[in-house]
Amino acid sequence: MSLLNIKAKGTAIAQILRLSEVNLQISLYYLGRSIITVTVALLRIIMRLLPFSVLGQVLAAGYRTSLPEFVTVGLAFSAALNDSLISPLRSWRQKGIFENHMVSKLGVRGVLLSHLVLSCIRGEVLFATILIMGNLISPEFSLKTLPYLMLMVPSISMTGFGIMLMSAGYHLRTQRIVPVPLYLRFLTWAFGEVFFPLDKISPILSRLGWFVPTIFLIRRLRFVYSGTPILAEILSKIAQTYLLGVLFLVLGFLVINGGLEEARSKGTTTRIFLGV
Amino acid sequence: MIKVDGLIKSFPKGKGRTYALRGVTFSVEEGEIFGYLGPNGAGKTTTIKILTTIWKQDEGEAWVAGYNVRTTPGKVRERIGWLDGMNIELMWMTHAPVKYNIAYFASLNGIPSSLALERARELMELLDLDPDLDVPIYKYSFGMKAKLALVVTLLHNPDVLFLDEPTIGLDVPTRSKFYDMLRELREGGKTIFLSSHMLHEVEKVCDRAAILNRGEIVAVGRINELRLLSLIDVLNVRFRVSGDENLIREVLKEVPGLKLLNFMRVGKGEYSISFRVPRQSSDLIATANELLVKSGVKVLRIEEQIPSLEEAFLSLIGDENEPS
Repeated sequence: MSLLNIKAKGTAIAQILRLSEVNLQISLYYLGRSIITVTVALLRIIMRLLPFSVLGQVLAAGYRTSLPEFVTVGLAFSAALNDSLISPLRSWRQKGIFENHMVSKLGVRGVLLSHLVLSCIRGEVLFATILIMGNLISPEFSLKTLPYLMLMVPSISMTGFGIMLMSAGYHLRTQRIVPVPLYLRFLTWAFGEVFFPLDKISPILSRLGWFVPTIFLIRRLRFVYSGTPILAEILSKIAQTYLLGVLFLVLGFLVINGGLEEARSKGTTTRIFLGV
Repeated sequence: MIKVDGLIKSFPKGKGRTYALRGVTFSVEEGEIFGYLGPNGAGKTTTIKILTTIWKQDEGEAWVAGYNVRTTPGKVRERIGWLDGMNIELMWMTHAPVKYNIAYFASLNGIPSSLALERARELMELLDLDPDLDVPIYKYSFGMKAKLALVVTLLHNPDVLFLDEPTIGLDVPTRSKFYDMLRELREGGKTIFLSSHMLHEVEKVCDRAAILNRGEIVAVGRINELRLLSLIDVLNVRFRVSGDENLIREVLKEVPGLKLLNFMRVGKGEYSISFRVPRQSSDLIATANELLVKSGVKVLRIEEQIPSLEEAFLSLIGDENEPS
C-alpha cells in the first residue's frame, strides 16, 4: 500500500520528549474537560495533603513554632514527590498496556524516561503554585529564591521516580506485592520533616526519620528557601539533591531492568503492580 | 522473513517446569499470510510473545525481518506490529478522544502526531471506521475498537504483523472487512503472522499455516497440503442417493468399518451421506454401493471429498482436543 510510508522521525531523545508532550496533552485534556474535573483534581491533591498539614499546624501550635513557611514548603515538596510516585505510570494499571510498551520502538525504558520528564513538568507546576499561594499567607518568603527552588524540583521527581521504579521492579522480579511508594508517602508525611520538625516530637518517634530518604532533600530545600545570600552554598545544596536524585534513579532503573528480564523469562509481563 | 529454529520455552510450575514449546521450527516467507493454529494451550501465544520480544526463549533461536529476537530485540521491535485480540478492550484511555489514543500509540513508535492522524484517517476509511477523531473511545463498539487497534498497529509501517486472535468477538461483516484489509496489506508486501480460532476463515485468507499441538508443530504447509495431509490414512466419500431414509440407514449398518460423518436430506427423498473409511479398506465403498443398489436405493453420485481445514485440523491433532 502506498500509504504505508511513515517512518519514525527524530533522535531517541526527541521521540521521548514527543511522548511526554502527548501525555501532557492528554493530562490537560482530562483536566480541562470541565470546571468539575479541575475542581476534582485540585480537591484530590488537597485531600491527600490536608490531614498532614493540619497535624503539622496542631503540633506547631503545641510547640509554638512559626509554621506557615514550614508547612508551605512541606506541601510544595510533598505535591512534587507525590506526583513522581503515583501519577506517571497510571497507564500501566491498564492490563495490556505494559506489553504494548515493551513491543514499541521506544521500549519500556524510553516510556519511563518520557514519564519522568512529564513528572518533572507536573512537579514544577504544582510546586510553584503552592509556593506562590503560600506566599500570600507568609509574606516573608522571597520570590527571588523561587528559581533556585524550582531548579531543585527535578531532583525530587528523580528521587520519587527511582523509588517507584524499585518497587515496580521488585514486583516484576518476585510477583510479591510490596507497596513501597505507599509506605514512603506515609513515612515522608509523618516523619519526613514535611509538615513539622522532627525535633519537636519524641526522640523515639523522631528516629523513624532515619528511614526516610527524602529528609535529605527537604532539609536542603528549606535551606535554599530561607534565602541564604551566598550563591555557592545554594548551588552546593542543589548539587547535593541532584546527587541523591541520580543515585535513586540509577538504582531504580537497575532494579526494574532486572525485574523486566526476570518477567520476560518467567512470562509474567502481564502482571505489573506499582505499589501505588 | 520469520525463521524459528528449535524454540523451547518452559515456565515454573510448582517445583518443576511445564513446557509450552518443545522445539518448534518453521519459517515464514516475505509477503505471505501465515496461519498459526492449535488448540488452547498449544503454545501459540507463547510463540508470538517470543517473536515479538516480549518473552525470552529458554533454547533455540528465532529471527524476524533478519534480526535475532534474543540478541537484537530493539531492531526487531522497529520492524514489527503486534495486536493481541485479548487486549482490544483494555489498551485504550477510554475517556480520551480517538485522536489522543492514536497520538499516544504513534509516539510510542516515534511517529509525530500530525503524520499519525493523517495516516490514521486514511486507514480508518479503508476499514469503514468513522474518521471523526474527537469521539471518546468509550463510545466505540467492540468491533470499532478492534478496527482501531489494527489502525494503531499499522501506524509505524511495520514490515511484519503479529496478530494474535485479532477477530475474537467480531461479527461476520467486520471479520470479513478485517480479512480484506489483511489481503490488501499482503499485496503491499507485508508479512502477516496470524493466530486465529476461526479456521474456516483462516483457510480463506492464509497462504500457508502451521498446526501446533502441545508445544510441537504437527504439520506445516500450504492450506491445501494440510487438508490432504489428513487424508494419508483415510478416504472421505460422499454418496448422493434417493430412496427410503430408514432403509438406507439399515443397509449402511450392515457395512462395518464405515464411519458415518454426515447424513443430510437435500431434496424430496434425496440424501447426501458422507463417510470416512480407512484407505486400505476402500473396497468398503463398493460394498456399500452394491448393498444399496440391491435393496432398491438409487445411487445418484459417489465422490471423494476434500476435508475442510477444520476437519483436517481435528484429524491432525487427534480427537482428544477441541478445535481451537
